[in-house]
Amino acid sequence: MNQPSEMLLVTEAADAPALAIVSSGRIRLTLRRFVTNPSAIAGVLVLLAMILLAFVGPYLTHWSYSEPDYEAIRAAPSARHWWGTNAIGQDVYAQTVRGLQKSVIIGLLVAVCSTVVASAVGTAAGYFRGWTDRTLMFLVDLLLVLPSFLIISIVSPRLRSSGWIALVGLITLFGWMITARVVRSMTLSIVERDFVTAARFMGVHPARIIVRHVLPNIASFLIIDATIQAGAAVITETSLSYFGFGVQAPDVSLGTLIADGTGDAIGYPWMFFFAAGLLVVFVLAVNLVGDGLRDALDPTSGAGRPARRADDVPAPPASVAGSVVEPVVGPVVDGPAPILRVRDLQVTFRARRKPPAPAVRGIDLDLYPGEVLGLVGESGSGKSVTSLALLGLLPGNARVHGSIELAGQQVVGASDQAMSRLRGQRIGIVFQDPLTSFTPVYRIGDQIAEALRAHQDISRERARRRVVELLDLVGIPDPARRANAFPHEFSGGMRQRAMIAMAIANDPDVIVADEPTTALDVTIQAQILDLMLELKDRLGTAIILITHDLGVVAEMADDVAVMYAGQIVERAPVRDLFARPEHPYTVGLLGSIPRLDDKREQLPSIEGRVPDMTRPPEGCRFAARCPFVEPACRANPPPLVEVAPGHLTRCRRAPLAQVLQ
Amino acid sequence: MSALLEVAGLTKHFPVRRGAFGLVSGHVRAVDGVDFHLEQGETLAIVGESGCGKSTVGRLVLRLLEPTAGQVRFDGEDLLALGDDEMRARRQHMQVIFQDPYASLNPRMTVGAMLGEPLMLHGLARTEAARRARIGELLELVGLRPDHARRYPHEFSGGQRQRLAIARALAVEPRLIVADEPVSALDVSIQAQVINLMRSLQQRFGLAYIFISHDLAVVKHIADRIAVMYLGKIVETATTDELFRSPRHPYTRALLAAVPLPDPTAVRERALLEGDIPSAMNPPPGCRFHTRCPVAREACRRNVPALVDDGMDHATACPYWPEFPPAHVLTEVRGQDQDRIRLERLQAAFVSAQREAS
Repeated sequence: MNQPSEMLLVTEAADAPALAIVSSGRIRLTLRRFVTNPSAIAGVLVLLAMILLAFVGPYLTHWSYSEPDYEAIRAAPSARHWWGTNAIGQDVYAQTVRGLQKSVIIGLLVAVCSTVVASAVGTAAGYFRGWTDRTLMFLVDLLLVLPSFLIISIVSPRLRSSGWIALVGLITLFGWMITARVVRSMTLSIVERDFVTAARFMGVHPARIIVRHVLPNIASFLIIDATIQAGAAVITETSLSYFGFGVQAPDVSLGTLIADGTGDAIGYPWMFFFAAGLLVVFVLAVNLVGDGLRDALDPTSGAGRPARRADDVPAPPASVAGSVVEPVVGPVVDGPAPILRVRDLQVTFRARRKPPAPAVRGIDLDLYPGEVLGLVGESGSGKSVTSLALLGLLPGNARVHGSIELAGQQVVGASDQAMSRLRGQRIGIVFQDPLTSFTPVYRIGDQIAEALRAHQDISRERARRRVVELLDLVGIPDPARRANAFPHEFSGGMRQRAMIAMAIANDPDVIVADEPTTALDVTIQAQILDLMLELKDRLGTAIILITHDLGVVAEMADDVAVMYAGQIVERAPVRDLFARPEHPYTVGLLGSIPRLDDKREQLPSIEGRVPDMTRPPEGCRFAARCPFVEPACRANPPPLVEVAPGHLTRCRRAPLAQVLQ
Repeated sequence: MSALLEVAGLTKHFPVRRGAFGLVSGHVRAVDGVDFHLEQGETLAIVGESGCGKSTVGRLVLRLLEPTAGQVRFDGEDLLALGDDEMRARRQHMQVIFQDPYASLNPRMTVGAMLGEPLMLHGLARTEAARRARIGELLELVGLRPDHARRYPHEFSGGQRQRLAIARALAVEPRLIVADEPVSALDVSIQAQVINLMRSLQQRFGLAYIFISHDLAVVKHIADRIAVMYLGKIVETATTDELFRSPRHPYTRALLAAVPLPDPTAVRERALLEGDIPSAMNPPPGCRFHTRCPVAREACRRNVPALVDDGMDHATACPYWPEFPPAHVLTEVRGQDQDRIRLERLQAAFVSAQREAS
């Protein structure tokens, strides 16, 4: 079971419709992102200017790079020699543009050659595996350990007849291996993906699979890598030439010029300065272009439309309706104030070059000690964002508004320090995938002990004993021994038990369980749900259970809040919600679940999809998919109204009995 | 009439290699002697928990993996005896749909290019115009628009992507589709759309499905017959109605009892299975389920139970099933009361109003 993280889906959902409008090739999107990036454009302009200089520059002067002017030895820049002359009277301008030309040609050729070699070797090794892979990777390892600089310096001068072409070959020979390794590992993971399996299954030829299915998916890496290669090759060439192993006289490159000029750099700076300056500018420009390409090719870096200005964003619904914010009253439980009190919680994600995405809009919640509140909704409903907000774990680009009071302390705007004190002591966490929630390199017991000692002043020894008690409490057999195990040595169910042990370690008042059993098998899920209920009864902890599974909610929750498009659309005691739903979305959702206890020929589904959160509808957010919609629904957002004691719904047409008339 | 697909003694052992020289240190017995058959136009669901070998069975049938032993007969012909080229030709008749619609579509290919590939490979549309027409037709079949062909996968939602994967499978007019957890990654309301689509396509084209899933509730709505797997073996097969009405194997019963029902009033006996699924590298001797079986006895540790058919197409790999109490309480608990009638009327109104609107 693979329930993708909701955060991701929020942005997906936000992206998709807008992109559908653009609906054209990726290349155009990439280009548009690239040209709106000022530093990348600067890099391109500088690079173009340098290439122009390298290839047109030599024709602008009548001096040749090799012929000396005996009347001007070490002459300073003047009208006759624009950039001066060197120790034997050669024109520095002519030499530098010639050297630049050489260096640029070598750099670009090396970049192209080594990218081609690396992609051929890397994809072949990754695709065919087995002996092909082992042989090619042996070759790569061999070339990597050889002292390349030494070999080139020995071989290169002996190949004088073929000159710089041989140099390109040599630098390429020792320059493609790292790229090939990366290409291989990328290929390995792409070949595992189902679309390649599908293509293989159709009988597509391996060469065609590599060209059509593998290469396009690593193209962005290759393009970026090629720019880095070009810069590196120029540096390698320069270093070789500097030591006299690269381009040989009478030809020049930036490297030979810098080598010749260093001796006189103090007294006659022009002999050194121009070549060194151009080298630095060239490498910088190449890197700027590389960075620009990386940003442009990364699909997560923006949707490719012009950014909407902040003031285009629709105002939060609270200010539209005025009546939307009402406290949601939980069930009356003997005892004092709620342990968790949320008022008008709003979370908005801001990303570069994207309109702000309001993920949660005006959530009110009260949670009492010992209560289990189920928060249900589909992807993009905002349920996981709500839980992250409660935990103070939202990413940096999230703007939170409203109030979250946990045992009397304000969470919104709390300092990191205060927040980490609250987490663990007041609020515990159980995530969907415990494998990613434990650090793989530390023993489970040590990690739980660390959580204990972070909040309690107890000795190592006592912490250790407490860990064993906790593991025993969550039903891990042989706890003293299992405390020494590493996370990967536990099965999924055992890890989730250990995660629960960690969550209850400091006796929190509230546990947030975000899809705690979604990654587990059904028989293991049943064990974990039972454990959570048992612990809740023993410890009196309140639980917020976030899930998409209505079966889990029915079994666990006392109270249920149904979320849709960032809002609570219905809240009721669990029996009322399942027996007498009062919101059309809940009705549709209950109808669409395949269930064991009945069999219908056709499963009713809710047609359509969740609204684009960057442009939420004016009125009711479910209106576009609601079969019971009235014109009034589309005009104004409906308030949350109480239709029965403790039963609230955000529907104008409630009680729904009237639609049956 | 002979079956469309007959599988006998299907076995796959993955060698486990260790160390620098890749010496084989053991075998993961992912699939161990599996038999089943599938008729034209029928849906067989293979259900079980992770590691039971259900996905491997799907891949073995399609020869995406080479079986260690066993027979796969498609239309009477032994697939395992075929060479690569002959197998490629047969693949026109069988297709596959994967779980994750985000991984199964090449993000750098337009929908049109993706659907055009199989058409071209199998020579199904000779001209550019014919291909374009067929692509449009395929998209309409799965409820999308022909002009979607110009778009890229990332422009579609999860449910729409799964529709695209179905369209790709349909492109070659297959007779068998192996669907590996096709709705598990989708939201509930979208799941229903995809299941309904698969059913209607089946009726229209007489497709046979092998529907691999961990979700018994989903399976109940699409399968004609069900095979329950545990640690590489089939422990029970029956028609869907029969399996849910009278599950026999203790594992099947435990699996059904463990599914949380979306009904807070349901009262069920919950015989929880203890412990974890053992490793397939070192399966328990005798009955593989005996380490977790609530009713295991001494003999279960030694004797490997055979999958015995009762003559009415209900086979069980447990010799003691006739001694167990009836288990129908597991699945039929919904009563008829006021609220339920109201809810059903509401849901009916929901569906009919939705239909009118569209």
